Amino acid sequence: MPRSFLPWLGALLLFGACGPAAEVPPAQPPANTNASQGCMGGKCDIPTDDEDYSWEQVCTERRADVLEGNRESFSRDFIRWSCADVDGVSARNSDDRGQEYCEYFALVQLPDLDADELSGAVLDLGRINGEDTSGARPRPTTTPLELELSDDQFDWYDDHGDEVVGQCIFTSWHEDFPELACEASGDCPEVLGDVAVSAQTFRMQVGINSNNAARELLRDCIKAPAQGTYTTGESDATLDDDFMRGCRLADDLYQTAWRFSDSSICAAGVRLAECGCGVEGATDIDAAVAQLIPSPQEQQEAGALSLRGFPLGGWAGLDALPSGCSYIETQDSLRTLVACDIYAFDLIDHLKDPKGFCRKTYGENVVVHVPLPADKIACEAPAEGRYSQCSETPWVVTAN
Amino acid sequence: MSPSHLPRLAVSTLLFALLGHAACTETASQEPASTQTPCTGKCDGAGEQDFHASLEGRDEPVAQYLGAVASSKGKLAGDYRSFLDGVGASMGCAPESERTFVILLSNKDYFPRNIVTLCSDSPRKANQLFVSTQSDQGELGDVDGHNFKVAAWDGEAERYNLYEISQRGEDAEMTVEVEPAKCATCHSAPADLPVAGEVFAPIMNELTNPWTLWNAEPQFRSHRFEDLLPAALAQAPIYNAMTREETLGGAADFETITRAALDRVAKARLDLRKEAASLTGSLRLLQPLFCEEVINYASENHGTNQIQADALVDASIRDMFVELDGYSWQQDFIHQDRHRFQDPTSSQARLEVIPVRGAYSVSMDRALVSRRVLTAQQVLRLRALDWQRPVFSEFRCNLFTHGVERLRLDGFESSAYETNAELAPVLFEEIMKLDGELALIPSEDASVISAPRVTDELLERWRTQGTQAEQLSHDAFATQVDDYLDALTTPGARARLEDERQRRGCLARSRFASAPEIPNLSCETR
Repeated sequence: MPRSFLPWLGALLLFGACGPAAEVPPAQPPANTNASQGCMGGKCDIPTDDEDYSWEQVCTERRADVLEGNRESFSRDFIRWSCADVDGVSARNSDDRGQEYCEYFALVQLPDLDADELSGAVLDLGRINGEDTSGARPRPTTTPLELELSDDQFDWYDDHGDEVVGQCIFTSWHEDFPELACEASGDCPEVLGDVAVSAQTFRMQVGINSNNAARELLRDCIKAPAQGTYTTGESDATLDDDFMRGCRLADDLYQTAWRFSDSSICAAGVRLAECGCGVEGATDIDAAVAQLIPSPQEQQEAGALSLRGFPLGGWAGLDALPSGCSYIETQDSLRTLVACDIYAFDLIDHLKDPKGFCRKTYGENVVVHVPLPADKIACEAPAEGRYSQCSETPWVVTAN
Repeated sequence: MSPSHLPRLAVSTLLFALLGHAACTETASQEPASTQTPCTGKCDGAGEQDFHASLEGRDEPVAQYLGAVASSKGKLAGDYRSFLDGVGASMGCAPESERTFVILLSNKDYFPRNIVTLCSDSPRKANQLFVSTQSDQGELGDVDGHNFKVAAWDGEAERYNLYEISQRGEDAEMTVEVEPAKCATCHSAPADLPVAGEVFAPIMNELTNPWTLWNAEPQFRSHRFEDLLPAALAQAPIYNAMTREETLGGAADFETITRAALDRVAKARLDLRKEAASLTGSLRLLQPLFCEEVINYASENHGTNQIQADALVDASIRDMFVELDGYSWQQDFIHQDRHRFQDPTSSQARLEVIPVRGAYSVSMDRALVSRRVLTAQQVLRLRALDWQRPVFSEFRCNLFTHGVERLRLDGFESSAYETNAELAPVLFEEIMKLDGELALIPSEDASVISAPRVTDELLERWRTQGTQAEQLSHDAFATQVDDYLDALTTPGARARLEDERQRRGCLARSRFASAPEIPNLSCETR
């Protein structure tokens, strides 16, 4: 084992060396984290009623989705989930869609009726554009969900059913990542021939979809078990399951266990800790997390942008987008913007909520990829105890 | 003729009539081509008239290609490969855009059917052409490179043109048959519906995840496909050439392409609304709301305990609620695409291959509302009748059948209306009358007559006492549906739904030649 890059292994081995742990209450959110940032407005966007909420239920459901279905959610090189939110996360009361480190909306171009061509204004529908703090809990606000058309506009679309008249935009561009270089020079690529790619329109808008939130989540999900402030008793068989332990921790830390992203990242983080893993060149957990999810500033200091957001791809891999989708050119290879065709026929049948059409038609198959540099991660499982059995890639959480 | 001269509507009358008219069986439909129903059309494709004359007026790439390379007797040299290359070139599709999608069909054994699309990066371009292979019946069960079927979208006629290309006997060349009758058997709505002749292509019965028996790789793990794929195929040269890594397409992409194809067919049908009013034209618009012209099949997604929600409740009900009042509804089912069961007990099977209402029909509902032919309220009121039977409701289809019969017998005069868009809603209201007398319209606005399961006893009560007892506000109806679904999450819920799966499955097998294998189906006593 190349010990040189496992300087924080000692702490992890100490955790591993604890043997069968006494039942310890789950950790409180670490003092330096902002729990409210983990969920914009607490449980506001939970896909079920507050009174029905239990970590065990949501984690059991997420585990089934993530591990018992037909997707490869964990692999040697990636942790993955779809842009479509968990079923049940909806626009009920307010639009909570777009909480998986992937926001989405529809861009639709209106026809110019006089010219009888598709050259009118471009509208963004369902794009998160702010936060409403007037209520008891802050909620995201969006541009209008519904597209209202005149009869003539409707008829034009109806007569041009086979034409691409819009794009479903999926973005994983972190909320706290800077503008594109081309924005200053004004020569950014355009979508629908009219909308220049810019941070204002194409970057994710809510704090939960930030680089910082992802780093905090991963760090906390490694630290808590590594430092012994979070462990589980052997009396709870539910927590014998690798995914359930991580999901439980996500719930304890942020009350966001129902999300694909938070439960999956935390499950991987817990396994990294339990199996004594380290990252090449990292001197402590914070440094290891910085290697895995470098901040915008760290990327700039390193002189190369490597992670504007978690790259998007398809379930067959990066660069394997679903049929009808393509990457939006950003003058680099960071793959955080995807556009999928909206045809006029589909648009006029989904005027109430084109964003919902985007989610249903493409969202399941546009996939967030959290990259893991497997070649730079090494693990040394505790010699004995509950977590002494680890695979070479323990972050690949499986059903067994 | 007044309504009273017709027999009164009963739930069960149509069922027996429909079963009696079943056109063909699952077995027949899924056998390789050479053992299927004998061709009754111009089978030899040669001699009787110039082949090129049969292509006249066709505005699609296959007709163009065949016009250029096939002989006047409809003979074509080469095989599937040269055909795809030739048509692909005429479509302007890059060779690397070719995709092969695979489903397992069954006769005595399972065999693959490959479906090839070109320009596959774009669902709209890809659905202009479908090439569907047959088995060569050999030991390896390989694909027969000289025997395949083709569907090509004709933009002018707004329909799919169908071809069968096959090598017969000792003939060195392949023979092209235009619009083979046996294709229509599988690709058409049941012939005994009041409005017959609707043709659909392609068929993707298992349209949604997990796409049972389709190859879902490389995006997803397949459902039953890997387990049942004949091992001998590993040595089959054509099958392996078609499904090599560079060309293999997953079921998720074929779903997108198929939905786009169904949109094409729907759009063509919807254009009827702009045409001069006619009874037949308007009824063509309305029929898919009431009767099953095409259906799909849903399964639980592996071990997730989830199944698409419209296996239990018609997707149109949810769509119409959203159409009526956006996302303000608090009932969960309006906001969920999938239904989740609890873990099955050790003795329980997961719910697999249950017939659901065709995605095409659901799309037609939505399209008729968005085009203002019908209102969301009208569609919701229809779908609230017998709503626990979201597909194969004998009551709803009987309502339509009897209504059409009345309209025809009465010599309904359509000349007072300019277009079908004006006439169709009038006919809808006429059809929505029990025995032609009792309007199935609630007395209150923003309400429905909610009848979870319509029985003959209920109909009798309606005749004598009216429908007041079943009338619910929209909100109360949504809550009723929500409560129903909540009760179907328990471990025992699958068993409660199995009887319904059997009912639907037996009707699907008897009504649709293209019905897939439906596991553990027992229809003898039905």
